[in-house]
Amino acid sequence: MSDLAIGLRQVRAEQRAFWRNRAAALFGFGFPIMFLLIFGTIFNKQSTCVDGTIGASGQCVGGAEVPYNNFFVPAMAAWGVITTCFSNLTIGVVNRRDNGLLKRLRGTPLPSAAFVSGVLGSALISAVIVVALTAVVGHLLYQAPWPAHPLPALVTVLLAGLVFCVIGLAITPFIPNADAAPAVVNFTSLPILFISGFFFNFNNAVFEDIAKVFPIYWFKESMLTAFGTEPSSSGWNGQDLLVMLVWGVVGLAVTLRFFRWESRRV
Amino acid sequence: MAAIVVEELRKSYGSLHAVRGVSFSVEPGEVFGLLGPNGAGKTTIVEILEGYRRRDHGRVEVLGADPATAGRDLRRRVGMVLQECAVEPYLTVREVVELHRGYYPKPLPTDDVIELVGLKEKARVRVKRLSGGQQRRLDLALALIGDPELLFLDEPTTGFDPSARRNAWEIVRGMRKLGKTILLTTHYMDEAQNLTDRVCVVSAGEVVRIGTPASLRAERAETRIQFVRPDGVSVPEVGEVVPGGEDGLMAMITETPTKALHELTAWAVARGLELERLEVSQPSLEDVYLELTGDE
Repeated sequence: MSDLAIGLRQVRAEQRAFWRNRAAALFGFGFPIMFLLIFGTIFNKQSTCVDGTIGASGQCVGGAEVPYNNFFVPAMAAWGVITTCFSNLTIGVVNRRDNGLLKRLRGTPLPSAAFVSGVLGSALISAVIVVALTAVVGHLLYQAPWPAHPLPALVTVLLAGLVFCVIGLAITPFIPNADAAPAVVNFTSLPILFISGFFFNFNNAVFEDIAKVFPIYWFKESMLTAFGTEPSSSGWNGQDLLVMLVWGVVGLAVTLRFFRWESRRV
Repeated sequence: MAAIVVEELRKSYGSLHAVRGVSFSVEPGEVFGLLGPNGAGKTTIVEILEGYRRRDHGRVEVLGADPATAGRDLRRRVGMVLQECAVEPYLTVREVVELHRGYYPKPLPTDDVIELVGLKEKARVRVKRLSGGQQRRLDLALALIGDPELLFLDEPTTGFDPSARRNAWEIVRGMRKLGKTILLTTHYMDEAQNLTDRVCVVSAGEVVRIGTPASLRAERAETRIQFVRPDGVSVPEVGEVVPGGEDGLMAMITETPTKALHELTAWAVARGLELERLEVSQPSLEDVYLELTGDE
């Protein structure tokens, strides 16, 4: 069997295990959809600036105003990508490192690259599904428009998904054990989600400056562009994608240098 | 050419010298047992042979290759049962075996292997729902699926009930008949006695003895004679009296059992006594092992 075929089989096995593990599936899909239902309902009829600033009617930069859910649906879709690619993947890999599954695979002829491809490929499939589900729920319940630029949206989701997967792999060596994984994942993602204005824009310059260091902020920006919330002719925003790519490269370097296949012996 | 060669192997973890100059070799088709108490260095040795750990010093060869650098080609020819290693819990037994089957160039048929380890009834059950012993059998199935030339079995029957252990032994014997080389570690001396051609006893990181189970047992030539001490009479001491282990039991050891037994029974018959629970036994591998590893 070719390495490509082995990689594809790994993707299939990972997807199968993901959907059978209700906790993982719920963790990946539950939060973004749940918040979409809560915030989406509360702010349904309100309008915001395209950056998510609420209650600034007539004062938006550039003047554009949109219904809240035109902003919120792409933001929650982005969060869905982060939960499936970053949070779920990290928790899963640390679990498997601690219970010896990674060690077992190291003893087989399965190439590391094929295993990693399986994990990443499966996470990306889940990411595309969560984005589609968010868009459908947003459209049916809140009349949010379909993504204005489908191809840029898909490419953005795949690229960002890959970057968040790699960052997830990169932080696993610094998570001491499986019990700590959910806490580390939430502490590193939730505060940044808030200051990046995923729910609404705080219009706080300090928050925004901090948020701009991280790829989460740029991912949200690129999703707003691809979904057509931010006016754009092409749906592409090179700067956003570039920042994410840089983070991906750094993540890859850290992963290659520090990744551990076995838990530390006590 | 030997299947496994280990020469002057050393490995330390910080100030802990886990393996201190171990040498042995395993011939093709041999079942070789690595015995020793916890912390003796067994798993470290096995994990160096499996390619998981780097050695500090010495020469190691597995199927003619250095496991530290051999990579994928060697792993295609070797099967491993490791200690405490999970399998994807949400896949079924059959799915996992089938998935692993795809990793090897010339694997065995999935259903044959599942049947061989006695998991046929559980083939469609998710790994999560298997008992500890069943998961261990799945470990064995995953080690066998690639039809390896060499098997590493690190405590393969831990957690098995007696009948599952017998079944596992049958599988190992079957593998031996097929000409596979097997290196196994175990805590169970009956397992070593029943399965291995030769054993290597390690203690505190050093080899204390290598030989066939029979030759190890023969090191202690004494035979033990024991029986319930008869009331009110003084029994002739036909051998060296040793603790009986149980209340009311009298035990003696001797290097001339025929003579000793003859004297003892002649004495008893002359007095019309029946020696209750009379037993004559050879030292077991366990007795020798305990003496060698200083646990007695």
